[in-house]
Amino acid sequence: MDSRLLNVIVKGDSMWPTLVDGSTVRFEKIEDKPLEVGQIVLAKHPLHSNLLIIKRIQSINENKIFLVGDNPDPTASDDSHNFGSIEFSQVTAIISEN
Amino acid sequence: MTDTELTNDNIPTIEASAHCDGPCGVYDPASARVAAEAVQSMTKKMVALENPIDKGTTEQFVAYMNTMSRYAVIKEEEAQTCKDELLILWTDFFKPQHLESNPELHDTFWQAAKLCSACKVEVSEQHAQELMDSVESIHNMFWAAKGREVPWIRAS
Repeated sequence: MDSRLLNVIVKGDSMWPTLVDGSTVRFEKIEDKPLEVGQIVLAKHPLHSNLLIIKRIQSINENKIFLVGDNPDPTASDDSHNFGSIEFSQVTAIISEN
Repeated sequence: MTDTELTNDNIPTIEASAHCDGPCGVYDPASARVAAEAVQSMTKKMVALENPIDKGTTEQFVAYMNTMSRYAVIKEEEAQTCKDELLILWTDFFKPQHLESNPELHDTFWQAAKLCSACKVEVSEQHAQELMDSVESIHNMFWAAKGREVPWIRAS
């Protein structure tokens, strides 16, 4: 078993149509990998410490990451539009390409 | 790799939130239904109210006018309330993904909003019933989107 891997059940529609509510996707713990714009990541919610969220990196500026949902509806995603940019340390994993 | 293949391996599985910006579960088409029912009720009362102008006293005519005016005001207000409640459901609850299973969603809401306007302008039992029918369609789409079976009920 690869300890870097994690299966994540998606709860909600903010990443629709890329990720559908209830589906399971594989993530890979970032360890020392660099983060890039466009990646889908697993991160700690900055205002709810026990909540993990799935979002896409829209931009990286001055060591801060701006996360967004893929759903085009303006009310469909609790993301950096609401809680602001997050720290690198709050990102725990990126979606696996395998 | 499929969901089943992912969950059958020995890799730990957790849940993560991909939720919307508002608390889930705060929407309910019941508020639109109550308003639409009020519109229909006032419409029926207006049609049924007997005009005493040729056979009644001035006092009766004043009472008639007062009652008719109150029915009209309530019909106007509740039709606007119904339109407001429908707009909230349409623009806040329903998301692009719901169009996949409800391709007629936009037209249903548009027609329902137009019926709210028609019920304000007219005293039409037909349009009041059509408004109720539209709200029932929206009720069914809403609860289907939530994955729940909730029967259509009326207060009256």
